[in-house]
Amino acid sequence: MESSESTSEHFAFSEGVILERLRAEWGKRFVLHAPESVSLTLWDSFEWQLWFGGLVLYSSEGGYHLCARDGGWIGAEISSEKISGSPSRYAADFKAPAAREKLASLLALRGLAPVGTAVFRRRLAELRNDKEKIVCRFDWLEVLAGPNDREAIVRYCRVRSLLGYEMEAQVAAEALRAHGAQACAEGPLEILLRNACNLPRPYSLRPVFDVDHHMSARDAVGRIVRAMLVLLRENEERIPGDVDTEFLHDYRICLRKIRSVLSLVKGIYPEKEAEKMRHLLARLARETNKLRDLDVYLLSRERYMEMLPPAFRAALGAMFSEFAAERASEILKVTRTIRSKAHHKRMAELETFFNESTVHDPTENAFVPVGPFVFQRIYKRYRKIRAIAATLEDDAPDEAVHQVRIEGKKLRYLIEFFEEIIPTTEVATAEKQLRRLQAQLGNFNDCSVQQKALLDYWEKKKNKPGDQLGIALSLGGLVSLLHRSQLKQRERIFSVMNEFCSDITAAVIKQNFKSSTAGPAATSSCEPSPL
Amino acid sequence: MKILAAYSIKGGVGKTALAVNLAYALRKAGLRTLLIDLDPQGAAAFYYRVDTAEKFKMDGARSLLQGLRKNIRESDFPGLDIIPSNLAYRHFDILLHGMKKKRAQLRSILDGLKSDYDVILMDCPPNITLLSENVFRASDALLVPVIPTILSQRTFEQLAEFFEDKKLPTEILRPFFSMVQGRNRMHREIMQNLPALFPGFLKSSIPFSADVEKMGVQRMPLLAYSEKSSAAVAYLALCEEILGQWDSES
Ligand SMILES: Nc1ncnc2c1ncn2[C@@H]1O[C@H](COP(=O)(O)OP(=O)(O)OP(=O)(O)O)[C@@H](O)[C@H]1O
Ligand SMILES: [Mg+2]
Repeated sequence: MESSESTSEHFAFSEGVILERLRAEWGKRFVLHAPESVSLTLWDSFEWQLWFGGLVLYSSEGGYHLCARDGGWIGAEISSEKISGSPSRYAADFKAPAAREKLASLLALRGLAPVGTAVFRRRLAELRNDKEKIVCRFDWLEVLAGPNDREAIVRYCRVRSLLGYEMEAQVAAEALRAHGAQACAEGPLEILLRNACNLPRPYSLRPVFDVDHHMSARDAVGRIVRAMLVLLRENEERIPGDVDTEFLHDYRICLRKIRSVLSLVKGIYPEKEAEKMRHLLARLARETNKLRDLDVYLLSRERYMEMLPPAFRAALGAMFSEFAAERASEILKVTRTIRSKAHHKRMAELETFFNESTVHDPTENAFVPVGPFVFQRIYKRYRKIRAIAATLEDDAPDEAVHQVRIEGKKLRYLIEFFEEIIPTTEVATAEKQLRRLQAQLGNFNDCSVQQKALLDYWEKKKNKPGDQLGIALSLGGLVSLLHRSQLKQRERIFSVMNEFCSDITAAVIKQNFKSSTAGPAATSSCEPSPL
Repeated sequence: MKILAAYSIKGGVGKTALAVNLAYALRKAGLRTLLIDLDPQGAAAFYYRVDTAEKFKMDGARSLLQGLRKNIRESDFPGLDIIPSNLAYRHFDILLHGMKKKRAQLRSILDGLKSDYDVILMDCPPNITLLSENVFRASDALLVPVIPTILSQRTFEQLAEFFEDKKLPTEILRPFFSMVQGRNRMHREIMQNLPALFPGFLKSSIPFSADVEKMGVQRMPLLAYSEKSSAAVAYLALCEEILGQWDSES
């Protein structure tokens, strides 16, 4: 289905008799070609990355077609290929280099799944002038669905003018209108997806919570947690489908974020009840620890392989096959857990606890305005990080560096949760510095976690039969490479940390978050900050 | 963007038949193609059922480009556009006379279409005028149909001499045999000897075929209604030869 540079106009019809009427009106000048039907299935990721990235991927008659998206229409084809074997789920599964490249840049770790199916019945037509030259093209399209794909849920006509014959197309469009055609905003792809009850929507782990400065702290936290719970459930229900590893990843982030908001802003709920919720959340996360670890190992497969010379790779390949087998059984286990009655009960308990209508006993911070309260927390966190950083020497133990990471994460979550009420423009630089610091600390931490994982594997293997020497060589090689890169990452931490802890940043944080000077906080009923 | 021209001083040798079919073959090879009919007789556009162009102002390079643009017509074959001929092209010469760099204007005008097309192909009338000199200086290759006859050979040699006299780049001259009749002894002899004298001679030649003449009735390129005929196959091969040379150049 090619696109044309010339202009085109779309119309929708409620009835199918228009072709007859046009034939009567235009006679032999109207040339109608035989209809062609194709059944097509659209594919996209959970985040609709292709759709929002301006692409359409559909499968039809044993082939994939990757096309540009032209509004709600399939645009120019970028590549196509035969489907061989099981359907392609990841960018890397595609054979056409153009497809692989485009998909990889949009999908990252995401996988593809069908998002809707319909039959497109297409009929081309053209209008010719007295010289029999084509002056206007028509693309009739019926989207068929329902039982046996018999029912036309929409009828379209796309009128395409030819360069230099725009007037003729306008006259043709006029004739269509006279026969009841209506301009339409939605294209067949949107209709297909609407019919599948599956319309593209943006996805983010940072939704809008709708909190404001003067809201009570309990109200604000409730809103945040409820929004995160919705995300949690969306991801949870898709873990068993196992389209990609991101559902589990995001599910765990939701659990962690809800848990941390409960510890970051204490005194919002009765402590014993909050404690119980934190335990529950920790437990839910723990149940998926092993699966997530395996995902992380398997995702690093390519990178590890590339780090080693080819001769060392075989032993590593065996390790990854073992991980893959372990993962296959672990995903079943997690699926069973998620589908168990006990799990449902836990989820229900969480949801009930945070339900808007659930009444909890009053607590010291429940009804203070959330703005000043949170600002005070942010200020305190920042000072804590700065205090730890001040004591760190070049040769500080890794544990101390690790502590900065933990504290930094808490601060970052606080800023994320309450983004809507903090003066984002004023603290933008500080936020960027924090993000950089966390990224650097994250890289450092990843290196050490990865070394530990490889050494654990060696502990398990070293007394078992097998290619001990090969395994030892490749693991040893990897661990030393990771160790080296960990040292490098560590060196870089200090300069980013110094920026975040600089006097300038400290002054900005103080000015914006310390309660006596922070704008709206000045009028609050909050106690003066102890700092 | 490449610029080609079908050109010969001699009339009726197959310039228009070449332009019409080569344009079709180029678009079929995936190139965005523009066919410009520079012959006031308007045969090339006629074969594509396109009416003669609207009149437009020609009082400078800019208005000329605008006028050409305004007259672009999408053919029935996606990827191929046509600028039909215009009786006013007779005034090209007068216009060009008044310009600075009067012999090199066409190239810069056509360069204004660079982003829209991969190749521009011009069908030229059989004469030497200031416009044809502009065509010579604008073209990356001048495709010259040569019927294997003494007279036709002579006009080609005249063209080559003209190029040398005027210090025009002779390497753009790409003659090829047109309307070849294999049973004709003279045809065979000329085809054996002439190419050795001109290094630019294309290997492909177009046979004489009654199918070509039917273009007038069909009003479409031979390639669109009789892809299998010997002349159609020959046009495709000639297109391949040209594309192959561009490939090896780049
Ligand atoms: N290969 C061929 N076999 C048979 N007839 C041909 C062939 N090529 C062209 N003709 C016919 O010869 C006549 C002249 O061809 P064409 O119009 O292509 O030549 P031309 O060089 O463009 O002429 P002019 O100089 O008048 O523009 C036309 O009737 C055309 O159909
Ligand atoms: Mg001609």
